[in-house]
Amino acid sequence: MGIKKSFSARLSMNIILLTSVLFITTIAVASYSSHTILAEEAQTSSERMLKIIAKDVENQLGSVESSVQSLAWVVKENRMDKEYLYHTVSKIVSENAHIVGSTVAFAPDYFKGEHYFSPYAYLDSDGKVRTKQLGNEFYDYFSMEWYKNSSESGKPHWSEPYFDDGGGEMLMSTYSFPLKDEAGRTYAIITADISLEWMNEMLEGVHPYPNSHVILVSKKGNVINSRQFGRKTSNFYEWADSLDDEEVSAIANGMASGESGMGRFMQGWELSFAIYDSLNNGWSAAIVCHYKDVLARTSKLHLILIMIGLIGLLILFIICYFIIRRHTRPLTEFTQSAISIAKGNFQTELPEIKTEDEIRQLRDSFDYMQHSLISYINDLKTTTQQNERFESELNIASNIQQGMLPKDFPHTDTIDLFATLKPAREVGGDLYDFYVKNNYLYFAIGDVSGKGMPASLFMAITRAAFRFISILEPDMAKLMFVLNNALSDNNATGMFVTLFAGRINLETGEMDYCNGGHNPIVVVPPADKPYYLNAKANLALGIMENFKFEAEHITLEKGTQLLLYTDGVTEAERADKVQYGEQRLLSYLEKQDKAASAETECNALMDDVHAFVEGNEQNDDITIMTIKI
Amino acid sequence: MDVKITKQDAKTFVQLTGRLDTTNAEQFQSDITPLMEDANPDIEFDCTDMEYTSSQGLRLFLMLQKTVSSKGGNMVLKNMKTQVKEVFDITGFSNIIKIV
Repeated sequence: MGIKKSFSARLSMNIILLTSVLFITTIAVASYSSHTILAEEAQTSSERMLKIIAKDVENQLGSVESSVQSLAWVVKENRMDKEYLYHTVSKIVSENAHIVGSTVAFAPDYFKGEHYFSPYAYLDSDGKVRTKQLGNEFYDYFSMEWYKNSSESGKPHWSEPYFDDGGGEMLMSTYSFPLKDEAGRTYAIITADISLEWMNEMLEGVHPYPNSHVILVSKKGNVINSRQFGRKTSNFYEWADSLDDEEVSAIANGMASGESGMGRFMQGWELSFAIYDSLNNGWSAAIVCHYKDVLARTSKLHLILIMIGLIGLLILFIICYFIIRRHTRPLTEFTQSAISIAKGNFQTELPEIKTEDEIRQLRDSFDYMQHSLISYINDLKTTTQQNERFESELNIASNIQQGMLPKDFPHTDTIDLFATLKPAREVGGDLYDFYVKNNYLYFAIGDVSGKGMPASLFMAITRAAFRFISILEPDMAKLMFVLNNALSDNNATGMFVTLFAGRINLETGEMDYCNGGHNPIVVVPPADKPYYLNAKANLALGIMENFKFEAEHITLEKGTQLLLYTDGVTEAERADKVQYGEQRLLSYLEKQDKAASAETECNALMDDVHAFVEGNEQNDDITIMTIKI
Repeated sequence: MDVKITKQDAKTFVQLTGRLDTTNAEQFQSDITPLMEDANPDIEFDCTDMEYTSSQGLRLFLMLQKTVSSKGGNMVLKNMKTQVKEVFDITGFSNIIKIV
């Protein structure tokens, strides 16, 4: 028999499974908390970074605003000096690096006869400052946003970013600052056009994490650093709306409302977060990061942890396997020992166990079993030998007993006698005896109470005593009296024998008989129906000393047959407890051929009884004796 | 063989049920052994439901009878069925055991 999966492998596997579950749980918990901490940290640092960026942008824009505001005073003082105005705007363009164009746009007809007047300085493609008068009927700046907005509100204003595709191919924004007279009316708007291109560079450098980026949008959502994303212009809010993504929309709405905050969303397959904050000019900036990048470091750490764990588990498995195998090796050896013992090698050595544990207990019980087996087998051998001896003795006893029964059946003109005895066991308590002496037939049939060896001993005594006493005492009543006293003497066991004894004068057919508690015998007259001989029961022998037996006398017609039997015949039982019975015996005998020999009659009756019981076990000795005179 | 022993005053009543044969003769013997050792010697057997007795059964009744007699007591077998009574008659036991 092969072992499909060894005990040690199975146990080790269970340990590994349990350890794995613990390990995975630990990793999961550690991972979850470290992720939470890292994510929070990333958000905080992103917020800080965003504040710095916002401040930077505000500073840059602030410098433009202050340049313009400082110009305002100068323009106010010298507003009638056109030449000076040209000079001033040229100066502001050349002095402030971010400013690429500047104008002072006067209200309509501020100067007599001049509907438009707006001296304009700008950087040409070579980087030189040039001037021109901006307004005319083709460039009606009064309707331009940068003018209109500030003049109507009377407040400085940053224009929405716009793409200048006329000259610089740049994304621009214009700062408008209204100039007011003493009455508070706006009479001119000073502007500064700035390129927003530098913001691309500035923001491009901001990468807290590999895939993170900063997005800066105007009040209306136009992306200021759009070039960074490979576009000329784009509107973030419109784009966000087009995504139809609740989280992204929430972020966009927050930014559009000038709030600061945080939001999570899926960017493609990546879970990302966005931190946003507003600038003081109404713009909004956001940092977008992928969580994957934030957690990249811990992911690596986790990978290392898992690797260490797996190697650890493997080592644990190997160690467990070998330790368990070492401790369970005796089991394998026990198997070998058991097989060896089963094959009959009772002296098989058991494996030695040094530990004081269950294996040791197993070994001890095994040892006990082995010794018990040895002594049991030895006992069995002895018993078997005893049984064999007993059996052979029993066989001898049986032979002796059978030998006691006379076998030289007379078969002459005057007497035809046959008897058969079939014991239920090896030896039995039934007996019969007969002999012919001086033309007298002496006969007896008997049944000792009980069966087997005790009955057989009593039977032997009875048979021997009958033979002796009958030779000396021809009177049947006296014979029985003496026989009874002989058997009753010192009969502590209470055994008794029923005995029918008789003596027939073979010439005259006269029969003296005495019944000692035996079954009535059957008389089959030559020309009449068989009948049970009326005989006084007296008493079975061996019971009561000095019992007075009464003998009887009958004269039998020549050709009469006597059937003597023990209760083994009439009490022969079928499986359904129905007995052969005396009536059946009588009916049977009635049908028999009276000319048949005693031997034939005897054997035929034995066969009939045998057939009657239908194979049911014989539980009493059966004796039949047929006498024909 | 079912043996039911009850004691009343100075008498022992034994109720026998079933067959007394080779298979249960030993059991019957051990059942009635206490009766032989009993100081109270009068025994009455109720054989109403006794179906059969073998010669071993007879022997046991005989031994009990002897013991009872030696103690000066009386043993009686009552209400015996015909087929059982026959065995007692054939063997002559009816002569020495009181059957009523």
